[in-house]
Amino acid sequence: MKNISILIVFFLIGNFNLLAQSNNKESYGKITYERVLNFDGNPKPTTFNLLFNPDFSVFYELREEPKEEATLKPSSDDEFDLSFDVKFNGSKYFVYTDFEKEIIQSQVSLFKDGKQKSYIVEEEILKIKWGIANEYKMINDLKAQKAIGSFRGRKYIAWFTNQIPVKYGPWKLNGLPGLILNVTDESNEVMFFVKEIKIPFQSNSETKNDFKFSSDFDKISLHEYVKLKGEQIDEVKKLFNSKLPRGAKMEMTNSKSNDIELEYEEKIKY
Amino acid sequence: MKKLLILSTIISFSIVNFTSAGRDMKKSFDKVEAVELIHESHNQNSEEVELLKDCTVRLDFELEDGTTIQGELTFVDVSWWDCTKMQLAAWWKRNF
Repeated sequence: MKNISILIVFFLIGNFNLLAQSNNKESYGKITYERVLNFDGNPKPTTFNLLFNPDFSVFYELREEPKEEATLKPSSDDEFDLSFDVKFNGSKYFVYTDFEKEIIQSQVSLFKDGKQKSYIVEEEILKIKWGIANEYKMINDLKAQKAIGSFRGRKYIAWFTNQIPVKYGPWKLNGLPGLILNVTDESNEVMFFVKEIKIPFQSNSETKNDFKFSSDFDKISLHEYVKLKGEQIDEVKKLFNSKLPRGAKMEMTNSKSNDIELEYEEKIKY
Repeated sequence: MKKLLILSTIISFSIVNFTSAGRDMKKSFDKVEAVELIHESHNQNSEEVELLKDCTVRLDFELEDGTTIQGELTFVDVSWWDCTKMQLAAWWKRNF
């Protein structure tokens, strides 16, 4: 009887510890991913971190200082071409997913009235209907299982691991019974690959301050963001119009955009 | 009579001189006119050559969410120098 009592006590202590751990909101995990966007056969890798605790996750870009890259080259006697990349500076892109409130907030910058403007875009978490397959492979010494799900116009093939039983994943992709390690869309245009896993990850006060939204930024819905994004070509035209010599005309040709999200729900469409 | 002779000589001399000066002046004006015309014609020619240039600025910019937007802005009827200025302005404009 005494032995049974001792066992019960140990069992309760063990459970209490587990409970305490799961409620410890200061215990974080940090996953480093490489996102590769391969539009037009020109793969662009970018490194992101996913920081999470039981209540929320933050997916943020590890960006170096914006680089200026411009080339001015005559292509013929009558034409001059300038190719350049426009980089936003000063702001930090991150996607904050609040699983308690079931919302996603992203901090993004756009051109508005000839200037760079930052917004906080709010949307509801869109639950992905994952289909789990009976296929396995090893990724970073972890046993990963295949899952297939669609999200905003793309069909994603994800590899998650039950060895890390959290519902998180890169960007807005989540909801599997284990951490998403790798995920690729069917057309190989959008890809995320796990690079490093740190669990537990000791956060500090800076970690929390890094993801505080600035009160200066306007909060807008995803619906409004989609509209503003559609106006970006016109916004860039405005920038150039202000520099046009008197009497000069300008034409916009061959414009196209490549998006990760190809389509939206009815209420978001603009 | 002698005074009259002297006076008429002076008047004649002045008329000859004035005519000569006028002819020189006319010559000078002709010269200036010619120079101006040549200069104007040169400008017109150079403007015509410059007007033939189209200035194409290729855009390739990436929004923070990963969206890439590409396009071409073609400026019509601009001189080479205006084109260069615009391109440099666009280059600097990226920093806002």
